[in-house]
Amino acid sequence: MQAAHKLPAQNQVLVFPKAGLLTSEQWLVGSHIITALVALAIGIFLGPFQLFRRAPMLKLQIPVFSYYYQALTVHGVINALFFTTFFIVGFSYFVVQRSLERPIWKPKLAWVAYGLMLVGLLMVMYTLITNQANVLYTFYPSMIASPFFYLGLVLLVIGTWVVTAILFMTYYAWRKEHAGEHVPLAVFATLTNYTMWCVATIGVAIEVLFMLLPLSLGLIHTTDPQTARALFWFFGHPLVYFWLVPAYISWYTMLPKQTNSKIFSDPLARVAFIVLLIFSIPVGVHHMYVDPGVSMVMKTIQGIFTFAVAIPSLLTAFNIGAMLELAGRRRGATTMIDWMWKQDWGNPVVAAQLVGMLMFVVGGVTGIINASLTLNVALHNTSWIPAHFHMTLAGAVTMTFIGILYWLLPMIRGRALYST
Amino acid sequence: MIHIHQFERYWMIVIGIVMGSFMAALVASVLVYGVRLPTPVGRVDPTHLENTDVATPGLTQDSEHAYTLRVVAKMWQFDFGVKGQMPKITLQHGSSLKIVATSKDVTHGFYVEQHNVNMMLVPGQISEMDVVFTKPGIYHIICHEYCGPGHQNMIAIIEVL
Ligand code: HEM
Ligand SMILES: [Cu+2]
Ligand SMILES: [Cu+2]
Repeated sequence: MQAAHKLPAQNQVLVFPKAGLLTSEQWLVGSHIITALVALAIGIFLGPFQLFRRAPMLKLQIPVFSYYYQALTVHGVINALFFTTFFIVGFSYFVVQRSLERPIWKPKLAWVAYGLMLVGLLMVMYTLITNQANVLYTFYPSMIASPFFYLGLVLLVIGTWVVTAILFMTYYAWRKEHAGEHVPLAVFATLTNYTMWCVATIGVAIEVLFMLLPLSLGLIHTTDPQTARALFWFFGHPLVYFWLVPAYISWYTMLPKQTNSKIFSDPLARVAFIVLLIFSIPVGVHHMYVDPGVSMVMKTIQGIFTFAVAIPSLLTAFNIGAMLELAGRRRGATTMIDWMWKQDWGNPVVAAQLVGMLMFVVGGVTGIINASLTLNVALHNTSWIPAHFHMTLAGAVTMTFIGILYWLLPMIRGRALYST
Repeated sequence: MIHIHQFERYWMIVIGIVMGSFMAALVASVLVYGVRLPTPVGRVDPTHLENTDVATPGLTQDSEHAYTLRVVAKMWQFDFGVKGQMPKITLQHGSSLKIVATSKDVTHGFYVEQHNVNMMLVPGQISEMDVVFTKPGIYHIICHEYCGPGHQNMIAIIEVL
């Protein structure tokens, strides 16, 4: 590779990795990350107002979007579908290029994918702002939005398929030159993640292309909402792991360096990612525990699989916990538990990720409760559910992404995060 | 083979025990406490509901303490065959109620406060659930699936005397 930009001179704790970025990388990774941040800024702006609107004492109106469910659709679609995807794609380009130490396959194609996703975002935003798509981010039929809403989502997904091809081709090019070598853990996990994503998106692609889009264009007039829900959740569950795996990549492969520690077990991390891949595909039915159209046998099987999919996260808790223990010990921890708080809280890169992990404890516990078939009756579609995913997605994942930004943004911009 | 640290082996055993006991608790909740989930009981054509037996919503008495409530959910009310913005039925405590519900238009939810009734009402599917009301009180039936601009007003009442 050519010479990289010099790293910005800044506070030592924020410098990670040790090499700078190429201009082309800065632009490609940067465009994705900045787009993700702009999307997040729009999406997250509405969150507190939704809260105020619901607070019995306040009942404040939501600015710009006075209709609650319009605002909620913006918040859900932009945060959960666009912010996450743009960030993850940008981060994946970074991880694959830097870990394999080679440029990505066909960088021009990467820009095409970016263009598709961006047009998708703009189309979806347009339909949301003009009140043509108040269908929430689950967009179940028979509630139908403008065709441009679905087309925007289709463009987003096609974009990610192109990204998948680019990442895999980059890997093959590397593999040819490095036969017999272990692929770095970060790349291994990234490829696992995109494999899962490609399988998962088949479900939503069928739903959108054969049910929602024809309905919205008036080509067909009826559909089966129960089937649509099954197709949506075939996608919707692996989707949450698509968000989570990049956070795990940061915890497993970057946090050890950032905390001056080392990974506890690389092979078990790989096992965790593979188990995630296998068990996350068939568990969408756990979002349909109280649907009338799914048999008890299917619900039970998928309930058991859902418990199985918790295991890689529990293994991760041990692996990361052990890594953090070493970090704490190196910072002078001596007793059984004092390593837990003897962490590098002064470093925003580390602190944001640790806070994300703490939230993930709550997210994980509530997740196991959700998965328990009969407990689900008590909480399905109650405020418990937004609470759960604000601990997992808005908590663990988003906080980890924020932590990543503290070192990634200075590299992209080639300047220090703040001046001293 | 992968080398697994001894502590991690212990941790795996702990995971196994914890998850195993959760599973056992689930089985117990079904066998001992009788918690039920909605299961497939039949389908209807939502565009021609009038030709089916779910077409006449309302409360019927099957025996002294057993009732059946047929509900058709539509934007944005639960149709019990009772007029008014917020339909209401009244039962004696100790009564058992079989709820048979479906949706006429979009997907709705059916949630009874403080009881184990939580179902999706999906067009084309019949949702059925049995519940016993042991304590007097006012219990709301709430639509918990976003179903359009009137969603938040889609509430009905079961009064238990
Ligand atoms: C300032 C931070 C945030 C606040 C105060 C907030 C608040 C809320 C509230 C009040 C709801 C509505 C729940 C309901 O009406 O049922 C909601 C829904 C949601 N939020 Fe957030 N949120 C925040 C950040 C985030 C972030 C960072 C994400 C994702 C990255 C996120 C993802 C979602 C999703 C997916 C929904 C569900 C939308 C739907 O029901 O269709 N939120 N949030
Ligand atoms: Cu799920
Ligand atoms: Cu509703």
